[in-house]
Amino acid sequence: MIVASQKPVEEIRETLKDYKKVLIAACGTCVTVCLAGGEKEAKELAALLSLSGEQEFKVVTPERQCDAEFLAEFDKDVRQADAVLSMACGAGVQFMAERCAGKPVIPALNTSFLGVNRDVGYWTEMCQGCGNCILEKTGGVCPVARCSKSHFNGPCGGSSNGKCEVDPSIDCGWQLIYDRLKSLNQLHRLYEIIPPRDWSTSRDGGPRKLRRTDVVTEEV
Amino acid sequence: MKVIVVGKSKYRDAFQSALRDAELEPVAVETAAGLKNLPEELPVVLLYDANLSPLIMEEGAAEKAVSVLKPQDAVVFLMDRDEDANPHIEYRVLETASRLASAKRRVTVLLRSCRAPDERFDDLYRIARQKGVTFIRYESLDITENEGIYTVVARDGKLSVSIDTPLLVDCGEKPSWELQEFSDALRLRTYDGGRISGNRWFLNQGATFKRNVRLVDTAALSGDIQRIMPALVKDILALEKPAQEKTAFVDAEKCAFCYTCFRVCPHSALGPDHGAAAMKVNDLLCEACGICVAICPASAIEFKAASPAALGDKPADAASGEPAGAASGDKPTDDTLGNKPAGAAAEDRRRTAEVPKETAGGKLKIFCCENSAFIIAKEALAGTDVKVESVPCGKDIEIEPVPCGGDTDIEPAPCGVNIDIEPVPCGGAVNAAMMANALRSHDRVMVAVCCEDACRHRDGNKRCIKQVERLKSRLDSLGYDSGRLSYVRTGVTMVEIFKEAALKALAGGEMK
Amino acid sequence: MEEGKVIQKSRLQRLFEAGEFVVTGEVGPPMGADADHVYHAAEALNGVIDAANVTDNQTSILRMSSIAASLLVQQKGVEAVVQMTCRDRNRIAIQSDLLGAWALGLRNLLILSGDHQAFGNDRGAKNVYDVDSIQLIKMLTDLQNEGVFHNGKKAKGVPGFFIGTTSNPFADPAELQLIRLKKKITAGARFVQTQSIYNVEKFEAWMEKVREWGLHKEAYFQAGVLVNKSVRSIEMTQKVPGMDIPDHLVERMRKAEDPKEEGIRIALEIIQRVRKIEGVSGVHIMAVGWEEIVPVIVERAGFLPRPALD
Repeated sequence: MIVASQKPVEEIRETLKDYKKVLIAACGTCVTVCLAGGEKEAKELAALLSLSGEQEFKVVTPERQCDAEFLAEFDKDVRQADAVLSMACGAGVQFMAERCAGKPVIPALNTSFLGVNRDVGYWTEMCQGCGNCILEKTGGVCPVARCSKSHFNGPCGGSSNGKCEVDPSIDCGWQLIYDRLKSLNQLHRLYEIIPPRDWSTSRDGGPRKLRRTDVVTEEV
Repeated sequence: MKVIVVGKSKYRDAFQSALRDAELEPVAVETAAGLKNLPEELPVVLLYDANLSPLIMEEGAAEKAVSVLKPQDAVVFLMDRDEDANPHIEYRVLETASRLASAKRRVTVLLRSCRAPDERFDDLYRIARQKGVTFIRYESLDITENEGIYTVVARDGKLSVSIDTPLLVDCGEKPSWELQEFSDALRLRTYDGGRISGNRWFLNQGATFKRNVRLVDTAALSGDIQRIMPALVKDILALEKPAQEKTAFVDAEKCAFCYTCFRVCPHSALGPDHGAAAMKVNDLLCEACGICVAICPASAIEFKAASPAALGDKPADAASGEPAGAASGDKPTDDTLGNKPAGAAAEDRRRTAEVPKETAGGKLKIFCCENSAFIIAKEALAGTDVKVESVPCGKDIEIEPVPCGGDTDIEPAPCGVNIDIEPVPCGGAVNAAMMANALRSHDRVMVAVCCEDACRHRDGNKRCIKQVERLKSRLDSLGYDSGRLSYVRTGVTMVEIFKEAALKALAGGEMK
Repeated sequence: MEEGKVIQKSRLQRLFEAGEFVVTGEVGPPMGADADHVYHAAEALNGVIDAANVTDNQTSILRMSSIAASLLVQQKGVEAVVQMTCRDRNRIAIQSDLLGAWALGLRNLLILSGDHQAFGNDRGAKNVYDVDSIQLIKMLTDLQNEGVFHNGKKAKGVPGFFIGTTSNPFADPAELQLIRLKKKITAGARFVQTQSIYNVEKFEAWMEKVREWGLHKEAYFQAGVLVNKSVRSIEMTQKVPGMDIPDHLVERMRKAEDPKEEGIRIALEIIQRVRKIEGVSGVHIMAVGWEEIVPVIVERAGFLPRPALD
């Protein structure tokens, strides 16, 4: 899932200061699950920002902000507001902005990564969306996302006690790969030199799109 | 009524027989796997007789337990505790060991660490050794049991000692090795270090956080099962009804199925309803503490009446094929708490959340935990100059200002002050949105929770304090005086502390 | 290599191939455009060592580029070993810079991953790592052997660098690090400089494994030796991830009357021990912030004069 966290509340207040009536659009999917932008967080933010008594807030919660039909439900609320504070991930904020012509759409969150929920309140980055998955070569641990240097033939010389030189709280991705491959009896894979990556499938090739032409009958 | 009896205790047959006498139907389950497909809310009695920690707390109990042993039998105390924890258990162990050794019993104490935490321990240790108690330090242990005799092999480096004993007293804070599997299968919540059962370091003969699970230390009873039967049967029969008048209820439409409530519920009362792709509350396990209501990121959980009349409001069974929360014309409208039923009328609620209008509330609002502060609040503030009104959830009450003056030995609060008291089922039921909204209508807000380890709902008090601290730092970032928000820990005997905190909060300060 | 053209091998390569015990040092470029800083460092090392590594934004701290500084070093008569990390440049920039380096007369190349920018002064810089060190070694070796770039184009003028790399005998997991070393050599690395050695026993055990795998026959191994001039220096070194400094050495520095002399003594002891290990073909001396001591060390270790080559 997409993992994001709320911007510092004073930063949010600063970006909203010119607007009197603000619609707070929470999002019911990824950011609810990572406790950043769901309805509950929206209600808390509304209460905090209402302490000054100078602005009016209304909270709505589209199921998610990345499908237009869910946004359509709140067109009327958008029209009545001076600005929209979107608590969705970066994708949702932008989709909302496209839809709300003429209305400023302000982000409440900093979107960070594709990750998993390891425990209550704890998420870790797992995937960079590089567009060319080689997880079967590395025992199911991603060298692009989980090695700080994205080494394909790691680790580097700074791996120590299974931790990354960048930060002792970061596991060395290649230690994890090694442990996994060992448990799978696939250490021979490590002898293979993985050649340089074609990064054009990643964001380096420009903003990406995906089409399934078989599910539409009109010409695209 | 079926009662699951778990464990291989030697007193099991006697126990089952006693249950039958009480017209209950015992079902024996020997392994954790056997618990798997049983309904979650069936009464479970966990029998164990290896952990005899209560034994050493009661004088006479230890003596009684050893009286059935042969003279040459050894008594073995296993002290495997967290080094940094309060050593009060160690004191008891050493005292009991000394007493038994004085009575000419063979007593051995196994310790992971010989480090004396304080002088008192040191003194007790010396006395115990003088009385003839054997102390053995170990790095690792192997314990096996065969027909009531425990064989303990203690290893320390290259040395190894083997002891056979019919009486092994496990004073550790972790559930004994026998209980861990059952604890996992029953989803029992533990404290740090694995203590099950409330805030006691030993396995309490009584409650765990899960209302249908009872732990019974049969060896501490020394076979005297009848001693606890009446109370146990009463508890078991009480399981036919929900614990409280209200229960938590998940709106499946809003639920994001994130598992947060499932993970934090101290009573393991929530479970997944895969048909509805939402969490579901088992209202026979729910204790209506409100922790899930407060924490749900989708605001999908509310309280509903738990009476049978409210059954129509619950989501339909997955088996019946109806989508969860489907409304139908013949269901009751609002329930006794004024909640709308799930379904069409809930559409509005699902998508639009209330941002409460600002109201003039007054000087100080105190959210009081019903298990501690709320019980003493009125008494604590009686005889002070402040007028106190209890505010039931969701309603505002006009309060008349009280003139100054009066005879107290505390500084009178300024004119026109009032304190609004809102009872909450647990500190954990109070979230930041509630506190922030309270700050819009009141000058100051305080939350009164139970003391460390005294929370009936495991960690509701800690959760609340964390939310208070986070909100305070957000208030600071916005340039507001975070001293307007405070918390205090109290108990039913701590009337003065509550009073001091309340008056201090009223005057604009906070208890540190 | 192009037909008909004889490229003279570097001094470093010829010494290794002749079986000499090689001694190399380091020059750290300045945090600025000051050429004199490099000239002075090179002059001090002339005749003392066989070649000098010129670091590439070491520990991710911005400095004059290795290639430029290497050229300055060679102008003062000392052969340079260009260092190239994977952190800051993509494959296009790296190859482009190296083609230029060859054209400028630089002949030795040490390829390494490079410390993450979290260690340096520009923590917000973009993390490039387009290729990792093994991929780069292979790319360059293939180019040098076949005259064709990784992108398929034929090269007009093919470099012939003597390619080396680094290895850390004290990093873990040990088996994986050895696999990686083997991959580097398979990819084309011809010499290997190790992380600074303090724990000689552990290094001996590692060399035993190296010999077991036959790696010492495929590449020349140089033992890294760091010279500390103060207690603070050795304490800071001990904190670096991947360093293994036995406490007794730190104690020696603490108790010494003259820490500088003690630091020299410790380095000399280590040098004497490692040169006896089978498979070790040289030492690489690092004296961070104390470059002037290198001639002293080299002399006291008995490495002077350096061998002459025709």
